[in-house]
Amino acid sequence: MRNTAKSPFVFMTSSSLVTMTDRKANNIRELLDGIREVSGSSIYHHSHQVYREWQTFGRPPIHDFGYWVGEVIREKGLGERLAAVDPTQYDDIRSFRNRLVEIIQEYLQSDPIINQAPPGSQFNFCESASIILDTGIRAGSLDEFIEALGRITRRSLYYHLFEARIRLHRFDNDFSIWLREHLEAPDIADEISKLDISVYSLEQIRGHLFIILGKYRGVPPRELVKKVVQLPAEMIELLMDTISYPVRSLNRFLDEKIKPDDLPDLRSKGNNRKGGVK
Amino acid sequence: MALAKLDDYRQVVGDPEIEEMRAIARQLKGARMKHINSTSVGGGVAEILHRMVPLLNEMDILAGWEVIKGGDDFFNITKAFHNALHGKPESITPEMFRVFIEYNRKNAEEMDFSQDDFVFIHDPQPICLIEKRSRSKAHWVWRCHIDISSPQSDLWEFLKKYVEQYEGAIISSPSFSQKLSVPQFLIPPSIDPLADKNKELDSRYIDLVFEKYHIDRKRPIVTQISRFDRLKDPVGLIKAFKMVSKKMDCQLVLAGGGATDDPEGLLVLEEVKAEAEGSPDIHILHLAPGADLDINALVRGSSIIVQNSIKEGFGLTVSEALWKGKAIISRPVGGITQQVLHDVTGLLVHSTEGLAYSIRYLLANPELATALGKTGKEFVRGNFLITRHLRRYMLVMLSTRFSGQKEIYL
Repeated sequence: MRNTAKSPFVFMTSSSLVTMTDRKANNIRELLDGIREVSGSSIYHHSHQVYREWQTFGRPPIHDFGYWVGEVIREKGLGERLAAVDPTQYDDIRSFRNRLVEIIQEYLQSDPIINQAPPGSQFNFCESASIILDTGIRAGSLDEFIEALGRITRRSLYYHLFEARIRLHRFDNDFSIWLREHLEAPDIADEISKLDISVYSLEQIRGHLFIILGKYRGVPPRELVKKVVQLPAEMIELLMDTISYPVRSLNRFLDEKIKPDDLPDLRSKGNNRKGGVK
Repeated sequence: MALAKLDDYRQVVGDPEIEEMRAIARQLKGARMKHINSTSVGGGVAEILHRMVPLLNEMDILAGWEVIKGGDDFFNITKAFHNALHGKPESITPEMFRVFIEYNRKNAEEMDFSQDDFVFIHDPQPICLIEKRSRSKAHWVWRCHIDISSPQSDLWEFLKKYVEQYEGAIISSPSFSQKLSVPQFLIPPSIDPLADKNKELDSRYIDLVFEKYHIDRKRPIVTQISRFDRLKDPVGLIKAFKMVSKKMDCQLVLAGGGATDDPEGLLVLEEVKAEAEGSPDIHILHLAPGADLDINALVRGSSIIVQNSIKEGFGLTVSEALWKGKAIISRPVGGITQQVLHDVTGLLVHSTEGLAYSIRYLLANPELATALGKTGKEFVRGNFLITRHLRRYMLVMLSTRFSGQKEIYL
């Protein structure tokens, strides 16, 4: 791994502005027509907004199509099948849309009873516009990258992890590509690429990035969080929960004894840096 | 109390969020923005504008706020409009349309839009001001805070002619969308976590407020905070409470104020008092405008919060309760379905009987109420705080400036 990257990582962020379309669906046939005919922007919005907004609330993140079919019009089996079509496994919207259409068509061939949505609970097709902005944050080394992860918003994480797949048309994310190609750290890059981002909230993903990076830096992730994350105490508490909660292997790592003196002072480094070249 | 500065919100949403907001605002530096609504006190719209306008200015967006003037005749008409847009049948006469337009035109004569870059018109009352658009270089946006999912058709046809003259409309919930020729942006309203109504309070202060209103904090308390309006169904809540109190020892608090554009409020208050007569455990508190600290304390000191609205715009009192970590029970109407995710951030009910049972269930299972409240608070932090709202307004401004492009690189 290089000490200094060939070129710095430029942290961007994207904000989403949601607009309504005229299109609504009251049952599964109307939903199918809508999925076939609405814009790619609408399919992207309904398949991805859950990852942008989700915050670990006692149920798994399910995209809008699967949720509405399973929970609103109560076609449970179909809803589950649709929910299992993971949009993060597709590098273009067309293929994802086609898979949804196939599943619904197959379901309709069995001539099922068609449930209607309760009043006020129709599926309202929306679209979203992305407003993309340079945060001004740069990382020219692994330490600066770790420090930046504590300073960026969830939206920036989303942009580099989720939007990257659609933007780049490849199964990878901006972080891994930079780590592999500019910092020559393929092991870290591969581990981040393998992270199953579709089952975590963005804050959980931030926690997992600290776990991975802490492992390679030899620093417990809790210490990294304490040093670099610039969030209110309650949110840091949640992040800490995220880090320690689910994984036994992580707990083993947390138990490792690391002397506080060994920890790099990442924040002061970040404050002193002069910034990189875009 | 001095209004909070943008940097004060760092403790609530974190430094990264504030830095991003400032970065977006830099793209709009020096832009002149005017908000117009129909009341400066009472109701969620005025509350949001009181906080939002100074924050916009702090980010170098030159925002102002003006209120249209009208007599009782005008506000009686707008109240009828409000009810009819919520689907309650009202007789809307041509004379009412005439008076409505006349008041709007009178207000328009006294207003100057020539220097504005953005004009945000809130709700139907000032909607006809759009007639002045041709004499303005501004981007005009209609911000609709109320539920227009099933409006009375004659009224909607009248209003739609005006709505479609704006560059876009902002609605609070997907179910409120209508067929329109202009873009409809989806933006929920918000609460201010640092306002008197929502900020952290000392426990002794909470005790004092309950003592002032003679409410016993040692016994469970179920509370609804809302102005006295039939659409909030306070009478239905009292009926549910009477079912609960047969099984459990508890108290009901119905607290709210009036608004200058709500002449019906006092009438409903009398109906509520009549329904509660003879029940010493029902406390009806008609609060004066500005009793925000009392409302805050009443929510924080309650066991459960109910929002029993049968129609609702967005229902910000729900987010206010969730922000205080309170379990909430509500009907799935309007924007409440965006805030209360059933069994996750609260409970949704569909009947008076269901409401009564859910109150009993949560009073009997306080640990569940605590878990719902904790989750609810984080949900509000991510979605319904004023910082998020401000950010979305800035995105609308940028979108109109970039003619609605789907991808805007700044």
